[in-house]
Amino acid sequence: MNWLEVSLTVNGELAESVADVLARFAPNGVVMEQSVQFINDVDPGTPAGPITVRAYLEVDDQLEGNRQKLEESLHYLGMIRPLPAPSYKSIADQNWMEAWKQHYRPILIGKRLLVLPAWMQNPDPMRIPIRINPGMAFGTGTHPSTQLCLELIERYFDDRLQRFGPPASSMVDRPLAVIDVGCGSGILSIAALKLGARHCLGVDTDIESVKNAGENAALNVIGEELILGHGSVPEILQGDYAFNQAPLVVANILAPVIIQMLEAGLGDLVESDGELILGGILDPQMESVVQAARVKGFHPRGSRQVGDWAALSMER
Amino acid sequence: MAKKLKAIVRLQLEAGKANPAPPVGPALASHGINIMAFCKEYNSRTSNRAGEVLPAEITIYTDGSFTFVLRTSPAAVLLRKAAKVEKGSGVPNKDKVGKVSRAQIKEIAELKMKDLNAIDLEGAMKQIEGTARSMGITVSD
Repeated sequence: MNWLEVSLTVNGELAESVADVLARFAPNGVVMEQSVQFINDVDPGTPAGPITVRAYLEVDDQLEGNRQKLEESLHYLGMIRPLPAPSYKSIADQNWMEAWKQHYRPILIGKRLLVLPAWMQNPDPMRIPIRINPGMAFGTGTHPSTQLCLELIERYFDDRLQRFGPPASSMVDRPLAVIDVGCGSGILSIAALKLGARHCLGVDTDIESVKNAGENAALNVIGEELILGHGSVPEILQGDYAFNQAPLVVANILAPVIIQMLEAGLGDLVESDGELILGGILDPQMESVVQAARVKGFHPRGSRQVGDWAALSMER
Repeated sequence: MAKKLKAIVRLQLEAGKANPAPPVGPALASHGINIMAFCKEYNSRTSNRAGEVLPAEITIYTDGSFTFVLRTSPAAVLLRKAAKVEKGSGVPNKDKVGKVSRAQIKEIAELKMKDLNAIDLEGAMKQIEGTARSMGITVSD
């Protein structure tokens, strides 16, 4: 089945009226899309500007009739409130279940990691694959901040490897625990486990993320070595989980949230000789994060930066 | 993590019936959104409201992740229900298909207030009245 896309770009007040007219001819539904405006680099964005309303008419022997009726209805609506002329575009039928996947490519990170979605073949078997299905949780591996944190985690495990030698192949003999605060898709927890951690605790205040992290763990054949929970620093500190300290703690969130978390005891999760990896920090925010960590007895050990984004590793 | 918005997409679909065909497929595929994940989630959240048109407002982030919330039914659907008509007029400036009271307009405006770009209830009522007029539904005092 091919489709004819009809679209009109109108102001917010008119969008629902136009959508109602289009919906009469497109029984599957209509879509409205608004772009995003940014005040500055830190601004996460606000929906703004006109709204594009789209509907899809089936290309069949009734198409011309439906198109005429649609234009008539829009004409009459336009007599009440002025409207732009509709635009048309032919849309060839395709497997929509697969079409969205074309946006994804494997991402090489650091010396040993490779992030790729579930359906993709591993193009580099020498690297450690981390399979993440893009979904409703943040951390698909495409954001610089996630990549920087992964690099720092890899560097942490490489340093350990140099100091203590390779971890025993048995999970039981691996001594290292990791805590991932704001775990999102679970990408950092999964990477830590694949790089040699024995167990990992990942928590997030968003329940959808916890669910998504569980699904991604299963994709990577990770079982009970990853403990997932709904919560943040206070829940870990009050003993809601199997452990409340680890030699490696990661938090890839946002600078203001990290500063609040440091106040709430994020540093207390790190064992005395441990390391804290912090991501989601914009360059101008680096100093305030370092300062907040210094107050809690940490000092910078290393950092990574791509464009405006930075990640820090801190130790006591 | 630092979530940066890419776009806001609102899909007006029938509850429990999201599928990858248009409009869902083209609307989400162009942003690299996991279509099956959305359909599954939408259908499970709306399955108990069969027959209703329930807009899903999808917030799309630059890394391909997304969240969505269900919004109130479109004003046009609520107006049709209030006026007890099956559909709006094809010639709304001439043929009137039904009538709603100002009190009904106010009720709809209050219900939809959080979803409209209106500063106050008065502004929201004006928007709803505008939608009514565009459907051939008259508003009486």
